[in-house]
Amino acid sequence: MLKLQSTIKLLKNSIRQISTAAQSINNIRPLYLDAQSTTPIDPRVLDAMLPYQLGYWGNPHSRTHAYGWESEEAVEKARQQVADLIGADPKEIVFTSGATESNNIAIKGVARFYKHQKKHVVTTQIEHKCVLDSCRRLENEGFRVTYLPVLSSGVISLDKLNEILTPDTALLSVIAVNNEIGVRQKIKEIGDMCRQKKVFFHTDAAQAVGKVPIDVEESKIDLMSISGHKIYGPKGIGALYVRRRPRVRVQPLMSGGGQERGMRSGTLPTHLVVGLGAAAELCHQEMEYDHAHVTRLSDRLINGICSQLPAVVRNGDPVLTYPGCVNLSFSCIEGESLLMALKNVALSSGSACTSASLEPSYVLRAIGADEDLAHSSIRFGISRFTTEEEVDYTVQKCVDEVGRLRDMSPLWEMVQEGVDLKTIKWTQH
Amino acid sequence: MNTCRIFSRSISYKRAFFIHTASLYSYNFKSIHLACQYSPQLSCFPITYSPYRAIHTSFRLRGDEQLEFNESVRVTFIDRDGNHVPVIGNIGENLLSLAHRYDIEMEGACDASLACTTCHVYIQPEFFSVLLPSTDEEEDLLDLAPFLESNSRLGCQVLLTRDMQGMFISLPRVTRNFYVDGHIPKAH
Repeated sequence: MLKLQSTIKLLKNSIRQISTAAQSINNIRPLYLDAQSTTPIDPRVLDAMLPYQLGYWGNPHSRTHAYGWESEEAVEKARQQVADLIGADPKEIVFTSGATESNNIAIKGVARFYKHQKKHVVTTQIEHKCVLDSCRRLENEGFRVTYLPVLSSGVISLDKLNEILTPDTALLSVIAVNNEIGVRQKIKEIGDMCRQKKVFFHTDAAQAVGKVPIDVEESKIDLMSISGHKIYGPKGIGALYVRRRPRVRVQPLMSGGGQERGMRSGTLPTHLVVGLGAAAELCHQEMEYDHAHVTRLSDRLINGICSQLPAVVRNGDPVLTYPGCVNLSFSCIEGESLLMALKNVALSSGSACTSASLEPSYVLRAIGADEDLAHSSIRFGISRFTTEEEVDYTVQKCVDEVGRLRDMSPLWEMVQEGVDLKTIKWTQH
Repeated sequence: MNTCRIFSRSISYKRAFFIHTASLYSYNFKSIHLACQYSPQLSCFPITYSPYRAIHTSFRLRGDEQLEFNESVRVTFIDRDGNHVPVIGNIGENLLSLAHRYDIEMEGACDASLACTTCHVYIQPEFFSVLLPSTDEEEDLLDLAPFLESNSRLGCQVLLTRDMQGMFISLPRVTRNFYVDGHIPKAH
């Protein structure tokens, strides 16, 4: 009885804490439409994780007692679950701290391991920052790096890729689903080309795995980065797929106890690994359902906004895309001011801005978006847990606020009068 | 004698002198204190105040160190492509404005307000100890610089002194504003 009372007290306290936190932001917690930055943890994933934070706390690498064995068993089950999702062998899965680390190990690891034979790395101009930064590091180490431009749809040109891959090319890294504009690349065709040219093929699939079907055998992927918190799993865990046959070798970034077959030393966080495994299994089971749900809401959002507002441009290819990532540019509106106006909706204007200048996103630059449109883009991220009501609310709010902001915009007035904004000369102040 | 407008973040200064104008020419000190502290050969007094204009600081040169205000030093920039560009800078001028005066491609996105790290440079190691020590703010920003070396500094915080005669300054291959398509953002 006493125990029950104290539990209830604890529960009340935590509810109060949550509600105060919510109240502090204008009495209302915004609805969440930023699924590309992170996704909420699925309660079923948390259920799977909890025992490994309380009861089963052994070190999964301990070989001499039951505590270690039970943790190891959980880790190996999770490895199998992740492998099943992408059609791999469990031995090919290396757990890391997230997709950033996976990308680092894949790119720097392969390039450095094969540096005496090959000195060329190819990637695209719309990669995630961690891929570009790794490549920049390699450039400083004496590697030649080609940053492949993309077509205005955001898709890379296979002909151009074919020209750029040379016998000196060690690695090609291509993002499977772009995190800002949602564009999907033709992974299978690229994989075929790489295998034929004997170039290792890495894909950053943080935004793709669990959301669109990916099979490493079918697409001939040699290395693939996976993130836990983008697929309704916990943060701080990810995985790297490393092909065993033909064997891909990487020079590890971490030295230590030789865990994860030496590629990533350090004790595995058992509960996070279990969470990633559970999240992968759920994605595997529900991919079709989730995809249909996300597609329906995405269409609803796009149709809702575009039917009520003129001069809205969708960035990126409308067909080769993951529907859960919708990047729209609202002409004559500054993205940041729209974000402020839509304070009841958690949105983002693209990836976290790390540039030191007030420049628009480099991804939008790469697809050749006009500068005024690149500054006015907003990314809507739809997840498994997004509801129809949330989308309708966002559409309504968006239409209202864009209308309000345009009404007071001199640029919009000029556009209405038929002035081409590109002919305006801006003076620097 | 030289008259400068001083920007001060210190509230007491603001209240006392109604200062709200930025930049001490190319010196970019945050306060009069810093200006005095970091430029030992210049003394910043007396400060005169007129209600119609921003604050004026007369630079008085110390007795035995009498030197022309625009006494110059020769330094050489080594740009991204390895080209040597010899330039003549004034004592007290910072490397960022010096580079811009000679159209050397050195980024300065925040216009020397200690916010961006894009004016990162490598100082010739022999001269590194000649430089005035960096502030914590500068060190914190240097943390963000790609390819940081032990002789890294922010160009906007390095002020030319007579001891820097003949110094070489090299620019890093990339800055924090990294654009794979070769785009270089303009200063705002």
